[in-house]
Amino acid sequence: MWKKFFMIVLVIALGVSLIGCADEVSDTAEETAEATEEVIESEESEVEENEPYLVFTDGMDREIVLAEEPLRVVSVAPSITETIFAIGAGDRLIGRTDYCNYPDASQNVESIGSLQEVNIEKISELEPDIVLASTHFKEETLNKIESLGIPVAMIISQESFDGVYKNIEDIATILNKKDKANIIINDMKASVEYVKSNVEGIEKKSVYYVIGYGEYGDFTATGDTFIHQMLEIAGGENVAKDATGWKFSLEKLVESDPEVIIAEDNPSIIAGIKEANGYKDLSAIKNGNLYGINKGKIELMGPRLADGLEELAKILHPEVFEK
Amino acid sequence: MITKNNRKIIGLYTVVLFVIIILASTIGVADITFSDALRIISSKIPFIKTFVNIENIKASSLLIVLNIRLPRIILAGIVGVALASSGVVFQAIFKNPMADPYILGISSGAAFGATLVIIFGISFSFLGLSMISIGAFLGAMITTFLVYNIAKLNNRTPVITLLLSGIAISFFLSAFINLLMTMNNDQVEKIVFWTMGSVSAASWKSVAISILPVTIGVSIFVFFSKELNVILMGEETAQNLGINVETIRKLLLGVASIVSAAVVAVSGIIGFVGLIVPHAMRMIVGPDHKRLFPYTIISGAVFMIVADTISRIALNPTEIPIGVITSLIGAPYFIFLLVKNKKILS
Amino acid sequence: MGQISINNLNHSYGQTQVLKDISIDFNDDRFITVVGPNGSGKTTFIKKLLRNYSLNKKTIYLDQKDIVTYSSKNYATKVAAVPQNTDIRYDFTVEEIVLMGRTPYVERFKGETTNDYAIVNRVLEETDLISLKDRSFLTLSGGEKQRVIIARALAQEPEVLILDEPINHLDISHKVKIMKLIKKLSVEKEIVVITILHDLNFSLKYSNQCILLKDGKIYNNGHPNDVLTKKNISDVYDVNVEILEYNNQEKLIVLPIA
Repeated sequence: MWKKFFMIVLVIALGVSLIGCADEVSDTAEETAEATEEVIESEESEVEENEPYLVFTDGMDREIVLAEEPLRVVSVAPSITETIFAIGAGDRLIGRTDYCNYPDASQNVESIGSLQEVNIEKISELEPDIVLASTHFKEETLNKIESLGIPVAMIISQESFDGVYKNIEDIATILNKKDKANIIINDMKASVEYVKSNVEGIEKKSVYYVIGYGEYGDFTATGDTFIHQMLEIAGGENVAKDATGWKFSLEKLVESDPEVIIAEDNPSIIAGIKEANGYKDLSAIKNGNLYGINKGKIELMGPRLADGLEELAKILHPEVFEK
Repeated sequence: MITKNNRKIIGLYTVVLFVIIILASTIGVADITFSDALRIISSKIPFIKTFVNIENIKASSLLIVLNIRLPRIILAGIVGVALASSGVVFQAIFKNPMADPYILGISSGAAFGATLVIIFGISFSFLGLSMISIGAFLGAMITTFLVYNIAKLNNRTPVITLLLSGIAISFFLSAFINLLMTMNNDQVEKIVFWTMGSVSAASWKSVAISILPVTIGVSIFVFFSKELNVILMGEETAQNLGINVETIRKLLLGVASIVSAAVVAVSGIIGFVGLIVPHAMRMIVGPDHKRLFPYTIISGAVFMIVADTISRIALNPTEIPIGVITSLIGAPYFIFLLVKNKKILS
Repeated sequence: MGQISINNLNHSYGQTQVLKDISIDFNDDRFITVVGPNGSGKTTFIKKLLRNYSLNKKTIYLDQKDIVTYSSKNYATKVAAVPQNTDIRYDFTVEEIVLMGRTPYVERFKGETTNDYAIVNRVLEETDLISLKDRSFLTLSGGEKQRVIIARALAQEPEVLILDEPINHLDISHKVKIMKLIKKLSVEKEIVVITILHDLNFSLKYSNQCILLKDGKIYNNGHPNDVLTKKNISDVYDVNVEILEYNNQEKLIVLPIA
């Protein structure tokens, strides 16, 4: 008997919440329609009066026209969020994703959802002047946001240091912080050169970068990834260089027995790798050559990438980088 | 009845299984020669090992064959035995050759438990068992308990109600898992990988942990072979022949659930083994459980070991999760069986 | 042996009471038919006798012992059932199925003995199935299948044999064969046979006690000739029939073409 009652309550609860949602949706639609009308009106009037602040081609060859310098910015990628703070425009950031966790100041900014599922309502509520997005951003989302009259710029480049420099430049161009950006980029270039010159001619060390292990599957920076490139620049010989698609075989790992193993500097992950079957017998583990590194410096196409490269180089060739 | 002939065939089949285990351990993406692999294995077999010299074999080869390949091959075999024999039990109790061990919600329960562990980032191990395995096992057992109790009516559990209860809870849990994945995008890959089923993390520890419940469980199944035969005749008929159907059903379903949950906990959700191996074996050796069990047990192990070997070498060096292979092989074979036996089934 | 007495047997499905205070003693007569319209409680009645439905204490007695006190195994050596549908979808052989009738006697670690196989053989002979011994059950005709189920029940060496409409779905030739077989066995083996029948004429012809149920109560009970009268049939089935007499004592119920 109570089972029937419970079922009925559940169904009614579901029904009521669905009706509630429908109400909200239609309300929001009305608001959005009004807001859109306003924005279109104001943009049209501005374009008639002055020259636009910026006409810009973004990373996907889309032309962006900005009437004024954007003072309210939403970022839909951790690398973009980092860059905005790095170039000194952090006070303009009014929205970021759940995954943007650097720098600390970014935590004071409101979240607008995850990388893949952004809350469009939230974004429009914040009334940004521009939305900056990167990979993972869906085309439908982009179209929806633009249809609300909010410009979207895609900050995407090829995965390489040059690509990172371009991304930083693009963001700086949009936010009128080119000078600061140049300083950052030059610093990064200098770091990269520093590393390259110091590993030249030195025997490479075999290395393996752990992205997943054990029950989560054996995943690594295979040869088709940018992390692989960084490992090689830093003077490492990636044992997974012939593999593709991030997946690797534990057998191959044991067979190649790398000198150095690098993983995320998370204590439970490091401990887990030391105990994992197959991993625990690797020379690198036995000799204490398992190192942790901040993922944000390696896996994000942002300003800390050069730092990450230096850290990799120090791990691989400590003798050379003793300062 | 197991006749003498049958005993001989089963004995032979068991030998075939051991040969397959040895062969499988010589196959893999690492560059180890067949003879090296054989020598490595032989060096561990009592008596033979005195004749075998492994001095000039690389240390990594020893590690690979003994610590990576062999445990996963044996674990795959244990999983096959567990799922196939549980499948026999489920098919008998539900009197339905389409039943499988996941029918009472074990798979969705385990996936749910594992998902929670992954999302909350709980990664320490407890008594040598990873939290994911514990979470999956608990999830599976709690779900089965729920399913059973929802279907219970006056201390009896009618078969149809059990089935419906299992289906309903499975749907609910799957939807919940999808919700959790939406809210935790960055963990989706881990969750999906686990649920696809894999023995890549197998170690001798996981073998040791799973072999005990499986061995005990399978022994219990075999013990009740005769009763299962009679239960196939109909529940009331079985009662009228003096068999305590409700008690045996509870016991066997409980044991089968524990056995299945135990292997799902260590290997993820591997489908089709619990469905087609018993079914195929029944078509070949008949419905008498005294014969069905031994053949199904060995075949379950063989099937899984072969599937694991394929999963390791098909896309060198990428590994395909074994659950994908069992479904890719299992589904077409099952369709083939269905078509071939359409008449008999109707 | 096989003496059954029933006191105040009741059964309800939810709110509906299906058996109302049934009390009856089966006398020494060996062949009892239970008849009555659909929904009169016939099947419920025999399911209570078989302990398939839950039973109150002190309601049904077999050989002066309350049947709820028998263990399942023990009861299975005394009472055997031939259910209405033989929904067996697995191809066991005839011998394997009949051998299952020995289940209450077989000891777990001993397995089936030569005695068990001998009994199975004998029973197969009695039911004229010996030539079909190794055939798959699924390949048999309806009549043959029914004989196999009867054989399985006989292998239990019961004192009481309970059947639920055993000839419903068989052709006339098989109907007669099976009824003759049951009658013969009841006489030769001194088994008490209790069977539900729809066909009243078979009740007249073969049984020596007839229980007529209406709305869960015993409407009449006694020799079929005395129970299956024009008036009783009209009262219970709401059908007007003619009873013809032939061969001196034998009666035949016919439906007049109205």
